[in-house]
Amino acid sequence: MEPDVHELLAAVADEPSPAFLSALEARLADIDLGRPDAATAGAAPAIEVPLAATSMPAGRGRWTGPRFVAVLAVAAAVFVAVLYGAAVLRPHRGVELPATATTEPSVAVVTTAPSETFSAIAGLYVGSTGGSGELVIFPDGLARFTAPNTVACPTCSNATAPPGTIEITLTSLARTANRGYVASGTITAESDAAWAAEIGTTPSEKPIGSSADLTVSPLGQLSLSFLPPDDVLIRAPS
Amino acid sequence: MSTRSGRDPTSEVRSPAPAQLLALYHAHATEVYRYLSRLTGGDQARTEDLTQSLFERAAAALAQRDDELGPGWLMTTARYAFMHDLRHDRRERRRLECVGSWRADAAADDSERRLMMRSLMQSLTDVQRAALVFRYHDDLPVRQVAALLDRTVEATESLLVRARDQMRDVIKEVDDGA
Repeated sequence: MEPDVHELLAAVADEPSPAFLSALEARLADIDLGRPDAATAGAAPAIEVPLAATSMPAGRGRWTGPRFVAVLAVAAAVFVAVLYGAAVLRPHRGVELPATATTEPSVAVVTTAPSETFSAIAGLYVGSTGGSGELVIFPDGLARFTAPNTVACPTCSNATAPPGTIEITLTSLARTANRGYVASGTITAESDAAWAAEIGTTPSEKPIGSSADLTVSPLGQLSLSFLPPDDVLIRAPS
Repeated sequence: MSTRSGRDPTSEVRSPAPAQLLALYHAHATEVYRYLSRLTGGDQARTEDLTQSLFERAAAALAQRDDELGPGWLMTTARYAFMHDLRHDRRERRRLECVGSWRADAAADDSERRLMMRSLMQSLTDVQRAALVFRYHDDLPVRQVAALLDRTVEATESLLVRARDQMRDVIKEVDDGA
């Protein structure tokens, strides 16, 4: 059977995820190319465009004559730009990507749009390990955190421990400077107060009525105020 | 020094409207992503990295050019960006894990057939896959594919033949196992 190359190529032509597209759009919207340091750095932007749509000659002998001189000149310009422009350009590189991004521990809230509803962050957020738990946020602002209750059953594994639940009623939602969200609310229900007090790196009282905050990055990474900072929950695909 | 428009670039800071960049993004982001996904064999992280990098290059290019960028510029730059990435990271990423587990009865179902096709593409080396994309998706002449891959025309033709042979062999093996 002769392979149909076009069918094969189509099989790996994936669609981008909505989370990636929205993060990239936010990134591009934030790019300010009109800044004097970026625009007047002369060759600085050349760092970004050496792969532009220039025609590359085939065959041998491409590094001779005027072309060689031109390449040397461009290389020198790029080198100078790297030396003097790297520090300036660095903030413009490296958009948060799912593989490396982490939710910011401190969030600068820039807007509180009245039109923001909890639908914007509603969904299921899951941890990377069995013991990390999961959080469901409903469009009406109710958030339910569930994780293995190893206090009720110290000998159980994460798989066999009974679930513990903490319910949070969210009361406010705001956009952050990096186009994520920060939401605040209060704990309104707990399945086991003793277990709830043990959650987190530093055991602390989390009685019903105490406050709880959560932040959601543009890429769907969520951190809860009562969980360790590196215990990030990831939004599950809908 | 003057540009095509007669302006002196040292006396004026060009400040392209972000709307221009966003318009380019809205019009072509998905298409570009799909193209890069073909090249990476569906490697999501790599495709996202390359897509992001491409639009950042577009942003820089918009700051330097008077004319507008279009899909042609994006696709050509995507091609070079992928090859640049490939040369920069010499590791030949190759994923074979899916191929062996697939059996011929899967072909009865369209989605499973697609899965098989995907596995086949992922079983190729990056260079083999790039050669197929450049030749059969982009419809570039072998000479141009060879230039992109920095190989001779003969070596590129051989590469294409080997890639097709490899896929044919896997399909035959699957059929024989049915």
